[in-house]
Amino acid sequence: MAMMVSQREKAMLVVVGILLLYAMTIGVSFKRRMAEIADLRETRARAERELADKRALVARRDDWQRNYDAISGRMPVFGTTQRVQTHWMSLLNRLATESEVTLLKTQVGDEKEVGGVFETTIDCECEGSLEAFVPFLHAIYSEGAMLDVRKVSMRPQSGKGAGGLRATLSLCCAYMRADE
Amino acid sequence: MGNYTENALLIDGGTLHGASRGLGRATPRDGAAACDIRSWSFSPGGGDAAPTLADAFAQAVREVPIEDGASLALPPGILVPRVLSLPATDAESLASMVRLKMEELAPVSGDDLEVAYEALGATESATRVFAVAVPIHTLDALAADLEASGLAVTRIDSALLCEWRSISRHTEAARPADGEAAARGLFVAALPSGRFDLFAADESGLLFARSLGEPATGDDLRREITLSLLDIASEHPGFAADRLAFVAPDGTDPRFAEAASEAAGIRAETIREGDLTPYVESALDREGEGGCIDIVPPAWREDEEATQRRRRFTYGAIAAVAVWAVIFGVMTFIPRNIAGDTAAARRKIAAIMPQFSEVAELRTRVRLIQSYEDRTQSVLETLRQLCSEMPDGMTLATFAYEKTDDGSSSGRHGPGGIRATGDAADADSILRLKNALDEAGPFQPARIKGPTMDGQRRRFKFELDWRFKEGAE
Repeated sequence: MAMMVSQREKAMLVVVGILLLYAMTIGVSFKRRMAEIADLRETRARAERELADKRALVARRDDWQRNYDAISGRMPVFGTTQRVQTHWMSLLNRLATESEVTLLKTQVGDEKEVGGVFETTIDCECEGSLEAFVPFLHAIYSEGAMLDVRKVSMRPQSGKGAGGLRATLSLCCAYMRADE
Repeated sequence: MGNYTENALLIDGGTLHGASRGLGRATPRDGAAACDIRSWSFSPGGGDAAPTLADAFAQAVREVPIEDGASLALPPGILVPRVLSLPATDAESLASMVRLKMEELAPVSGDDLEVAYEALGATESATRVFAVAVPIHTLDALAADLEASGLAVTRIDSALLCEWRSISRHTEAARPADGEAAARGLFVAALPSGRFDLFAADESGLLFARSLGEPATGDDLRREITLSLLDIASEHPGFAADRLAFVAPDGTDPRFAEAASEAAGIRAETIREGDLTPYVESALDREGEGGCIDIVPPAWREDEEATQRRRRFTYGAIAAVAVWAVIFGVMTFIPRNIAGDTAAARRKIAAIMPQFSEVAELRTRVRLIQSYEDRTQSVLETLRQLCSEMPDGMTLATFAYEKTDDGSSSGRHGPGGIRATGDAADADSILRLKNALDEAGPFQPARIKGPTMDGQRRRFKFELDWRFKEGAE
């Protein structure tokens, strides 16, 4: 059965269609814009947080300076061109000898700078009894220098040296450089 | 709902009369509201300096003011009025009959004629209507005046019928209570413009209505009334008037009343009306009544509806654009504002960066030195804790230690810890060691492999892995 649509109904359909299109256009652009606004707000919040954090740190400048002044004297200072491996190696050899630990192999890593402080890693393999290793480690910690044990691996020595321990150590030493 | 106002205009000679009634927020037809009546003169002939009908309309629109349109009652000089008695029939047939009758009376052809009517009363066999006809060219001229003045006409009424409504109300109260015969009467109305109108009514209501023009003397009026009475006698042979009412403003020559009495053969009762106010009020009262005469051509209404549609569409389009503009403006302003805030924050960050970098470097140095001096996670301390909790009969095969890396030089962050392998005489001692360090040490709960039984040695092998607690330094 054919449905008759009056002129008025056609006009109403057109008006409703236009209104729907209008609402959809407004809605879609509004939604897209709101998403952009949400992103922008997140970016602004991050920037404001970052600014607040940085301001807070700058505000505590005197505290950090005081702390640094109190402990910076314990950090060894070398010349800007001075090679530091020999210093640390001779220190390590002396401590090992005094503790009756035998250094089998040592390897000095690259120098790295963090915040104006330099760090160098020294990996070494050594042998000795447990009674020798404990004083050796104690001596490293007690030296007062910026020397830290980062990794240790110990296992019983086999073969000729059975009864002793074979260990792999990874040490880190920190220092600063200044114009001579 | 807004304020409701009724406006009615009535033309008499060279004067346009207007009545306005403000009804506030009440519904239409609130009879308690008072009406305001004004008049504006114009020259019907359109003299050089005299205001025209369009000027009078414009004044009315301005002074009343008329915003929602007004009804307009046209005088008999413009409309051709006639009371018709027709057989009772349906509305469509009645309209056709009225048109045919009015076409016979009108001075122009039917195609150039606009006809309208109002039912006055009906019996089982007959219907009485008040009909008017007007040539279309007259309406076109009126339309030009209306358009020039900006006046929107809601309905075109007959001034003659407005007069009759007022007179019938007035004389009804004064009618002598002597039965049906007293209802039959003649009514002569004298208007301030000099025009005289004649009405005849019987017990069913208005029977005859005609304008008598502007007679200069009583003899002229007598002649017009006599001719009209002949018409009445021919159209309604049984009609005999029992009373004559002469409705006239103060100052009307008494000889006109005498002439009317002589023509009708009945002594006239004179009813004084000061001015046209009752007729204009009657025109206003007819606003809102159903079934009133309306001779506004359909084309005018279609044009008005089309104008209204265009106006609604224009307003709708403007509103839509305005909404869009507001949303667009807000949606543009907000992101710009946020982006501006972000840029300002970034500028402040850039400005503070040299000081921040300096303090951040200082902090790094302090933390690095402190990490070197911190012995809470040293290999010696962890060995001491392990050995102090290690049960008798347990032997360690390997021991590995890794300090928690704060990323200072390696760039890697992660919890260090210790890992120990070995064997024990019983499984319980292995679990005791695990639980002891889990609870007391700076470690997270250990991951354990085993214990597994070494069949040859009759000992339980194990592998324990403790990670330092986060932030345990």
